[in-house]
Formats: sequence, C-alpha cells, structure tokens
Amino acid sequence: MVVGAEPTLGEFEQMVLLALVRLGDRAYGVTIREEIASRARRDVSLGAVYKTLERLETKGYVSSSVGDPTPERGGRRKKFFRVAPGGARALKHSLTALRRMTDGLAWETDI
Amino acid sequence: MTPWLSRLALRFVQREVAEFIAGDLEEEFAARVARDGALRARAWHFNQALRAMVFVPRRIGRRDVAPRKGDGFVRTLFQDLRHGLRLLFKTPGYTAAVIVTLALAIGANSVIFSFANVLLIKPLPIADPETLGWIYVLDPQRATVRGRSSYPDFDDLRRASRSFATLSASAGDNVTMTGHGEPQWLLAQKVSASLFDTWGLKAILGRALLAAEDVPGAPCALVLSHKVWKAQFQSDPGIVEQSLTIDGRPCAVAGVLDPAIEFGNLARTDIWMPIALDPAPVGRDDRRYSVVGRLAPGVTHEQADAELKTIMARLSAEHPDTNREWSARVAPTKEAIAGGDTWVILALLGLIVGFVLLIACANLANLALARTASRRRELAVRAALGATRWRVVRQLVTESLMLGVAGGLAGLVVADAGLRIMRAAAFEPIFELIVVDRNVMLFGAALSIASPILFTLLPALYASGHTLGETLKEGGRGAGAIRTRRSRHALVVAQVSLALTLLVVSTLVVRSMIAMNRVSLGFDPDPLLVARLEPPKWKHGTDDRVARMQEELLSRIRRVPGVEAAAVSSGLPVLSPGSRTTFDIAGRTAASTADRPWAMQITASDDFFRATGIPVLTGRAFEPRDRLESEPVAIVTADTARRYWGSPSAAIGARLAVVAAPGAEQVWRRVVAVVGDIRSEPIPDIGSEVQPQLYVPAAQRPSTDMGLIVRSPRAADLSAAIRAAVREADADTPVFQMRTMQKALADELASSRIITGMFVAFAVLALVLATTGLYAVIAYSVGQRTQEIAIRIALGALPGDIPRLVLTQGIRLVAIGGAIGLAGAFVVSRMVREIFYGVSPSDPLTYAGVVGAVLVSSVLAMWIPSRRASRINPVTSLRAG
Repeated sequence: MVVGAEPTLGEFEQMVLLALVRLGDRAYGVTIREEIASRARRDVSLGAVYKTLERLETKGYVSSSVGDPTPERGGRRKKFFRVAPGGARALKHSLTALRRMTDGLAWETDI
Repeated sequence: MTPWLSRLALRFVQREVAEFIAGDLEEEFAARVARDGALRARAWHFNQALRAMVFVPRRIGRRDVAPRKGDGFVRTLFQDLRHGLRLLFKTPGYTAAVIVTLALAIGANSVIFSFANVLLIKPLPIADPETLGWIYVLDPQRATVRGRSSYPDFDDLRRASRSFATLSASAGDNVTMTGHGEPQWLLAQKVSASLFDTWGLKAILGRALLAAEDVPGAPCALVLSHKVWKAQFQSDPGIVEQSLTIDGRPCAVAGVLDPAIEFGNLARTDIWMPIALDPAPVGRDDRRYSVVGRLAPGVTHEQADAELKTIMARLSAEHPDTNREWSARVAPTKEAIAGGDTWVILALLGLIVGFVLLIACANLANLALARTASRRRELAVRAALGATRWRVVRQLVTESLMLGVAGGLAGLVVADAGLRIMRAAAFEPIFELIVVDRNVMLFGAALSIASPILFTLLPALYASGHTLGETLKEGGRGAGAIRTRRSRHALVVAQVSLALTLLVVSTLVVRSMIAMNRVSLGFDPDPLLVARLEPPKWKHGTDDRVARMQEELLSRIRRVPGVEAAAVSSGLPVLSPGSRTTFDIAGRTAASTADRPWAMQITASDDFFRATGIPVLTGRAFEPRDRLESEPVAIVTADTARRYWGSPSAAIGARLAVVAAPGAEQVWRRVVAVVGDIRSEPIPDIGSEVQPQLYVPAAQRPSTDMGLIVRSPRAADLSAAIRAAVREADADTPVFQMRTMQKALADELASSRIITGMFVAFAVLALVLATTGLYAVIAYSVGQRTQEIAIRIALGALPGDIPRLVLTQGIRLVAIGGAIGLAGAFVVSRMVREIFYGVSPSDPLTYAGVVGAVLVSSVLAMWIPSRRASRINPVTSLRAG
C-alpha cells in the first residue's frame, strides 16, 4: 500500500493524537499533558498542546466539546477533545509507515 | 488565585482558548502547590502562561479587535516584535554583545545621573530653596569662601538687613546626654528658633522650638532628630514633654523633627537646641555660626549681597579690633550644597560617561551595519515582495528597540550594584541618598530607547537605500558595501578619539589623586590609635579640674600594656587641624587685621610630639613643668617660623600672644621649639598643603574638647583596653570615633577614592569598548576580503604580507582617531585644569602613556583577525566563492 498520498503527521501531532486515543472521553489539557509527560517523558507546555490541537482541529482530525465549569478551575469550563475519523485514519497511516520502516530491524543493535 | 504576572500573560493568549488554558493551569497549579510549594508552582504557572502567549497568541488586529484605520500599526508592530525576537534568539552572540555593551554604558550613565539627581534635581528637604540666601563671612585675606559669622555680627546683620525676611544662625556643638543608659555624646545643632520657619521644617511629633525658648534665661528645650528618637527612645511618642539631662542640666523634649531633614551633613545632627543656651557672652571674633536667611519678596541674591557688604563695611569701621576688613557674601542654595570643584567633577564625569555611551553606541552601529550587510539579501527579498522602505526600516528599529530595553534594564541593575558598592565604601552620609530611584529609572529608560534608535537608524537607512535588483545581483559585494565600510571606519575613528580623550583626562585625575596622597603627612600614621573624648563640662567646669582629669586619664592609658606614648590635644593632626587664630608678635605691630600673623592653634599635652612622631627640629617639646602657673610657652611649625621670623632658629625665644576676645587678658608666650610641618587637611587645597600651626601646652589652656592619640606597635588591638582605661578615669566621659590613624585617613579619603575609582572604571570601560569596536571592524573586513586575500596568497604573497595588509588598514584608522583624540584631550583637560593637582593638564608622560596603551590594545585587537587572514587557504576559499 502506498501511503504517500496521505499528508503525514508531525511527531508531536502523533503524540497528541495517541494521547487522545488512550484517554478516550477524558481528554482535555491537563490529562493530555500528563499522558505525554508520564509516557513519553516529555514536559510539554500547555500552549504547545493547544496550538497542535488547534491545527489538528482545522485539518478535521480532532473534534472538541465544551464541558461544565468546575470550582477547582476557578469556575472555568473544560474543553474536551476526541479523535475524529479523519484523524484516526491519518494516525494509522503514519504509524503504519513508521512500522514498515522499522520492520526487520533489531533496533537495539541496528540503530 | 492566579498569580498576577500570569494573569497578565494570559491576557495575550488567543481569546478562544484562553479560558480553557487558564482553567487547566489553575487545576494543575493547585496540585503543584501541594507537591512543590507555592513558589515553584508560581514559577511554573508563569512559565506555562508565557509559553501559551507565544504559542497561541491573541490575534490582534484580525479578529479580536476592530480593524483600525491606517496601516494596522499595532498588528505590524506585533509582527515585527515576533520576527525580531526570533532573529535575536537565532544569533545569541550578537544579542548578548549588544545587551552587555548597552548595560555597561547605560549603567555608567545612570550612576552619574543619580549623583546629579541628588545634587540638582531632587527637591531639597527645605522649602523654596530658590529664595534662600546663604551668608558666608569673608576674612580680610579672602582666604576662605565659606566663612562663618560671630553671634554679635549675626545679630547686627539681622537687625540692619532689609533684604531678608528672616535670618537664622546655627552652630554644631557636642553635648553629653546622661541618665539615659550609658553617657551619650550627641551632636547638637544650636539654632535660632526662626530656622525651622526659614527652612520650612515641621515636627512630626510635638512642636519645633519657639521664639520664646530662644532668649537668654529661658528654660532649656530641645527637639530630637527622628533617628535619635528611633534609636535611643524606640520611637516612644511619650517622650514629648519629658526631661533629658544634657550637659548636666534638665532639658524638656519639645518634639521630634521630620526625618526629611536628615540630608547630607545635617543627617549627623542628633538634637536641635536654641542658640540662647550657649552660656558665654560670645565675642565678635568667635566666628562659628552658619547664617542663612529667607530673602524678602522681590529681592535678588545680588541685591542682598550688596546690602550685606555695606553693613559689614559699617561693622568693620565700628569694631576695628575684630572686624576690620571683614566682609560677607550671599550665595544661592545651589552653591551652598556643593562646592565649585564638585560641579566641575560632576560635569567632567558626565562628559566622560557621555563619551562611554557614544563609544558603546558606535559599537552598536557597527554591529548593526555588519548585520544589515549580511541581511541585505533578506531585506532585498522583502523589498522585492512589496515591503516599503519605511516598513523595512521599522522592522530594524523595532529589533534594536528590543535590545535597547533589555540593555537598559540590565544597565539599571549595573548602576544599582555600582551604587551599592559605593555606599559600602563611603563615609560621607550624602552617599546614602544616592540610589536608583524613579528619576534614575526614567533616565535609564530614555537612554535605552534613544541610543538604539539613533545608532541603528543610520545603518537601517543605508541597508534599505539600495535598489534591490542591484543587491540581489551583486551578492553582497559592491557599491553598498563600500558605503557601509566607510561609515564603519568613521565610527572606529570616533571611538578611538573619544577613548583617548577620556583616558588622558582620567589618567590626569588619578595622577592628581596620587600626588595628593604623596603630600607628606609629617609623621608615620601606622602606630597611631586616635579617638575623641568629651569630658562633660558640667563635671569638669574649671580649668584645673580639666587639667587634673587629663593627667589622670593619660597616666591610666600609659599603664595599658603595649602603649608607648599617649597624648591629648584639641585637634587631631591632619584630621581636625584646630582653630584658625591670629596672634601678635612682641615688638611688631600689624598695620591692619589683614596683616596680622595667623596660625591653626592646637593645644597639646606634653607627650604629644613623642606620641604623634612629629619631629622636634630645634628646642624642647612640652614638658610636665609647663603648668598653668608656670611661664606660658608655645611651639611653632617650621612653616610658621619661616613665614613670620624668616628661619626656625630666629623663632626660638620670640614672644607671641594669641589675640584674645575683647576684655580678656592677652597671654604672652615664649616660643620654645620649632617642630616639623604636617599636612593641613586629609585632602589639602592646592597651595595650602601646609598651613602655619601653633601649639600651646594643654596644661596652660585646658579644653574639654579632646583628641586622644595613643602610640603602640599594635595600635589596632588596643581599643577595648583604652576604653576601659578612660572609663576608670571618668565613667561620664564618652569615647567616640576610636580608630587607627590609618583607618581615619582612609575614611576621610573615601569620597575622593570613590570618585577616582569611577574615573578609572569608566576609562577602562571606554578602552575595552573601543578595542572591541576595532576588533569587530577588522575581523569583519577580513571576512569580507577573504577572496581577495586568497587570490593574493595564490599569486605568491609572502607570509608577512597579509598581516601587514590588515594592520596597515587598521593602524591608519587608529592614527586618525588618535590625532583627533589628542587634540580633544588637550582641550578638555585645559577646561577642567582646576581639579588637577601636582600634574600639568598637558603632562607629556600621561599623553605618551595613554597613546602607548591605545596602540598596544589596538595592535592586540587587530592581531587575531590578521593571523586568521594569513592562514586563509586559497584553494578552499576560492572554490567556495
């Protein structure tokens, strides 16, 4: 299968999308940041996360919904994000391409 | 609670997501406060908010704000700022160089400005200083420009003058306060009650002194200074109306004075008391009162001056004994708060830091030229894509403004650090007032905006001035490059000349300072410990009691282990040179008061010369047999002997009498010795390094104003033992200002050391900045000429040829700059010649030394690039081209 026709995702975009997949309906700023921090060991800024989500949303890869205000947020609302079908497809393409590139490599020794 | 800085940052986040980001941050912030503590959590919060501001900035001018008329100034500004920030972070070396250079230059300027701020700009704590007149009495020789008045003269002036609405007198005096813990020595300012009105001083508690308390026989009243009230009485408001024991008698506290007056030398005053409390009827030749007055409405200083001169002329005729040829002058406040030399030095320092700023800005301009040259392609592309010239210039100016603001902020930090060091080193209280305040900050802000604009606008205009097709074609070399090279060379010439000028002037200042320190003290200060003692007058009222107390005191001190000799005297050598007195010489009559011999008089106990180490040249020192009832004797210095008798030997045996107050008996003294001269003051005036001095035995003229001099090989370790000895002799005698002679001299010289230090620091800064400028220009031109040099090498240039080529070019610039600088130095040092001491403003050694230093550092600056040029590999360089 040729994947060149699909636009590829950036590394950070992949990470954010994967975080959304893992978090399901609990995905918003704080949890996305935590997910990336605990798994990828990367302390990313909230601004970077939102910037990426904004870009993914304009591409139609994620969808968002606004929750209710809560007191621990100083009465502010949450914005939840979900992977849209287009996003899931793009993510699959990216990961497949990556997996194919790594197939057959013993990456501990070859890379 | 969101920290306010973060809240501010979040305002610049895109509106659609700001709420969610703020909410997320708040949520995590709470968790982090619990985990890392509030401080680190706040730092994190702010960091996140800042990044959010960068990543998802608010869309100004697009959606959030209604579109403005015109060219969308704010929007383009934000674009420029963002683009500039990115570029600056891409070239951290350039950015750091500019910020450090600006910081040093703006810091230096802010330091000098903060001096001017205190002396010129800040309002004095005195009401309407413009209409105050400061009255200085002039002696017949017109030797001192800030003479004081006697009380009767002041009284006559006050009665006769029409130019002044009020006239007030004041005099500092030492008093002892007992009964409140340890005996305290306090500096009292004895003042006319009207002084509080004249200066517009208010009491913050109770009241100021009343006119009724300033009449002889009134019950004693005093006003506490704020600092004494705070330190001694723990700011207790109940102190008003209470009674304190001052010099052994009860005095009621009328009030506490506004701390605003604790300014300059007045900051030393502990308590304020009425003048009328001075006991003795004061003579017309007892001139120790400072006089100040409020001019009557519409009267100028000149009119007041003329009127006072007329009154003084009348007094001179009426009281020829004491007032013949004495006069007075009226000075405005500006002159009263700082001497003439101070203004010259301040102006010179101002000029020098101005030069430093110019040199720094030339560096900036050079950097900017180099940068715009390397960015010419970028700029040309922008122009090709439709950017107007104005738009391109604006982009460049915005970038330099960002640098300026960063440099200015760093500069204020530099200035604050510099002033802190000075305050720690200084002894004079005026330095406490010199701080980075609002005025200094505004000044720094103005500089950090003005200097980058001025000095980057020029290169920006150059850069944008070419026809773009040409630039794109020529690939960075060609007519534009020659044009910028010329302006870069002009900048280097300017830098070298400015640096040379201020190096010469600074060196002359430093050499003056050294020359001043070389004036012989007249004795070795190393083994001396000095202090001042104030035996309470109320306890030792009569002369023989004071004399007995001194003997008791000295015998106890001499028993302290390690003490070689001890003496008391009314002044301390060099530190406080005694009081100026006129005297008569037996067998001669002076034609007028003006011609009367004069000398600084010191009373000294018999061990004085052994203790100080001042050599006895001929005759004998004071001895225990010189008592109150024995023959009155005196000792003069070599300078006095030469001045009035022609030679030291002629003075021995001569008889003299200090001019006494009217009615008092003149005491004729026989000169028994001639001793060595000592430096007249810690920082002597030019021409009066040595002044005539007259010593009188302390036993024959006892005084309760006592300096103590102890000689010991380990002077620094004895203070505690000496204090104990004084306490044993008299528990009511306060000891103060105890320090080694070396420390005392260092304290007195602290201010001039600070000033000298500034000259040195600024000169070094200028040299470093100018050298860096030269280095940058040469290095850049080597970079530009790589291909040319490569061709030369390929065609067979010898190894020495290439460095010579580079050096010749640089040396020509240095030579032109040096010649201009020498001329500038000659002019400037002649303008300020009055502040130099013991060195000519055209001192050849200084000029030669500075030229040498500039040459050496220039060659060093050119050495590295010229070496690099000679190592150019023709093969690779030409291929790359």
